[in-house]
Amino acid sequence: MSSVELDHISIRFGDFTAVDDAHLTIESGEFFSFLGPSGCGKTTILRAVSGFNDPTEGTIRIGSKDVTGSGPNQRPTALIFQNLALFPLMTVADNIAFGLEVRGIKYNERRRRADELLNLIALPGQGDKMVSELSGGQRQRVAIARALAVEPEVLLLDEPLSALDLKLRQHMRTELRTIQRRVGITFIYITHDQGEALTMSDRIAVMSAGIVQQIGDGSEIYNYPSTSFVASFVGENNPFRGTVAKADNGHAVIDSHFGPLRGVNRQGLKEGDDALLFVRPENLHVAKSDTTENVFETTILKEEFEGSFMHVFMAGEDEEKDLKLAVSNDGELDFPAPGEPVRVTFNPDRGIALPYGEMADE
Amino acid sequence: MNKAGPNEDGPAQAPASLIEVAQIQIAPKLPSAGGSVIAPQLPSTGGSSGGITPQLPSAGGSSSGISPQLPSAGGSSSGIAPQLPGSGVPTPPAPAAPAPSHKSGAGLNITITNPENLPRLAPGQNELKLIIASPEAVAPAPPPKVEGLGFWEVFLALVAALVIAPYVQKEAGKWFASVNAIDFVKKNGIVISGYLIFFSAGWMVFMIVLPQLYMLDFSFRFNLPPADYGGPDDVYTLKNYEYLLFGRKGDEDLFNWLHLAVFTKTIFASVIVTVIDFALCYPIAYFMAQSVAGKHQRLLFLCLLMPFWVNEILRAFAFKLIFAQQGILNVAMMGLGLWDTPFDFFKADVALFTGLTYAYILLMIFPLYNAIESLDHNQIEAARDLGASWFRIHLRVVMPYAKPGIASGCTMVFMLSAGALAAPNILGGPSSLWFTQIIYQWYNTGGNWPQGSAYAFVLLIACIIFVRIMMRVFKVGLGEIAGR
Repeated sequence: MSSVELDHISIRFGDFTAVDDAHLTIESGEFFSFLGPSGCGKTTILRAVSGFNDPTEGTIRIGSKDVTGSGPNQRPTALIFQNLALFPLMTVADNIAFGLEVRGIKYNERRRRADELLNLIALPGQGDKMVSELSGGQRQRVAIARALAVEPEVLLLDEPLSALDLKLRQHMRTELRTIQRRVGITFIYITHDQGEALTMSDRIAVMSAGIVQQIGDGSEIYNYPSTSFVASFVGENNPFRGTVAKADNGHAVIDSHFGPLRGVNRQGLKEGDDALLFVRPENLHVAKSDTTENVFETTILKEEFEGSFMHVFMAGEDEEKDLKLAVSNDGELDFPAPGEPVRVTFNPDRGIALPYGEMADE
Repeated sequence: MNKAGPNEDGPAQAPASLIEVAQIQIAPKLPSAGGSVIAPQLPSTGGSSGGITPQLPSAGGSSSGISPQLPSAGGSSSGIAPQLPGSGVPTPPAPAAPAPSHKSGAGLNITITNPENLPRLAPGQNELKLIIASPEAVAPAPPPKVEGLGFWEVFLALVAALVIAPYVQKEAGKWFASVNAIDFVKKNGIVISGYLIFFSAGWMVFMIVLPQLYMLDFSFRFNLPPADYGGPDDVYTLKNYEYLLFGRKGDEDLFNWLHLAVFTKTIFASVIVTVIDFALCYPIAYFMAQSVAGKHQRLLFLCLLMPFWVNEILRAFAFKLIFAQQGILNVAMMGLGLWDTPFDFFKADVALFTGLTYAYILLMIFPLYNAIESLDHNQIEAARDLGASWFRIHLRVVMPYAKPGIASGCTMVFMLSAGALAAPNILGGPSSLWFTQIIYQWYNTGGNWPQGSAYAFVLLIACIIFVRIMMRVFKVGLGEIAGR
């Protein structure tokens, strides 16, 4: 069990900056995720922690010990590869015990440890099978066991669930979390799937273009994104672009296409700033007739009924940007039909005003 | 060296004095041109009864003064010429007959019709030239007369063809339909599949199976003159194989130690060549397969391939220059003061091993490269991440994965080294012999094809057995060698 400290690390390949001045500390025993689209630099960070490439600048400390420059076989980390990279010519037990074999541990002891780990990953008695005889989910667990066998202080996981189908992926999320709680070591998890990051992680670092955009737990990231990228990347969001008309008491009023709209101002927006106001679909409501603040009028384009929710698409700033609204189904869905005009409102505390910036691609 | 020289089964020694007879005519008198000839009344068996024939040399044998003047092809029935195809087809195991002299023509009726033309032996001259020709050589048989076809014959043939044509057509149609129903034919079309089947079968039968079967059959036979083929002496025997083991009957030693030693040494040295090649090529192949890509990889391939455009002989002789007493290497090393008398690289087999190792390097690199190239690099990283040293990564991850490639490369290098001829010939030391050289001598200098075939088969079988044992030891299947 060790904390991992990235002290202002930058990683460059030639002219390309893969990671730009990442500075964060991952607590001991934490399930920490790096979330971002492909090419954002999250895998590069992981490989730097595991020792496959060194940061161009900065220092990496594991358990307050500087490991910068030492090889992957000298670090108390174990990496689980995206494609698992199990050894196809070895049995399951030999795979799991490979790290122990390398450390010169005798066969019987190795085998005992492997059997213990097979119990931990709920594959008892399967040690003599070949890897090819296992299903995708079982291989997944063998890869975890192989990494855990060397008793690493930090377990690094590089999108290990991406090859599984949806059902199995959801099952493995729970399982990974359970294993992490049981062994109690630090997990660093790389993913582009926000569902995985939100469900499993204690904390998440959202990355884009080599820059760590925001670090926080799931609800913080979801409810209070700190950049326009995070707001648009994590979950669904309706952006309203405009200039700040007024900023006071932690709120800001944005002059938007739909008139003045008010939202929370946590990023210190000042009057005249170019800004984006984000409101999530579930926070948009049909306004009562007497509501006067944060109200705007638009037209309903289409409605999609989804059981517990109904998604309503409304005309936005321009034709390409529909506004989305989600109505929870309370048994008597009473909503205007497509084509009708509608007055929409939201709680100013649920609108997030952010400086104008890069947005995630749809 | 003496036992190694297969010459001992070769022709008898040249007669001490050669006869020269010229312009002799023998009855029956032929009205032919060419002056006088000897018509042989030799028994046509070609056996040893005629005092002249036994001495006729095969190609490399000792010279007797008779053969060079023999009229070439025409004399086929004379009982003399058949033993003389230039290629060294075996001469009969002849009792070394006494050299024929003037008096020894007992079996020949030679009539000298124009003695005045006989050259006199000059004082001190003890050689005479004898020209022998068969009647056929002088008067070739007229070509058989070809009879032209008459009108009725052609007419009847045409009628018959017309009558059976519909039937043939119908049967052919059925035949085509059934052939077309075969999946292979369906997939490739009748022309392509016919071509494929015909040529692959032809290749198999005519290039591989038949010649080898022929040689195998040869190896179990006595070394007979062609005239005795199919005769009462033409029986199967194990003597050729026995010879490799026990040598000649009268020898002091029970076993044919010399040949057995060369055989063992050849196998052993081929193993060493294989091991050296593997040790040299594995790092290169790994580097090319896992560490470089694109432009640099192509450049490396070119650098490996281009030197092999130089032909084998040129390369071998170039090596000879490098390793010579006054060669570059000795001069350089002596110049550097590393040693002060020239080192004999040939005697120490350094040149031989270098030549063989270099000759088959590509046959090792490419199978290794192919096998290692498909290994997922993540596996190497995973092993490293789990704490494995480079040595262990190769031993436990890369090599097991590349095993089929390793087996394939090693088999090829081993087989070809054991069967190499040029490199041992050119680069081998004065006292060292490669088994193939003995085989070559049996065939070529010794003119003993059955013996050579037997030796060659022993080498082949031994190599196959050795390779199969190695495959068993390293748990490689035959199918794996051919690729997954």
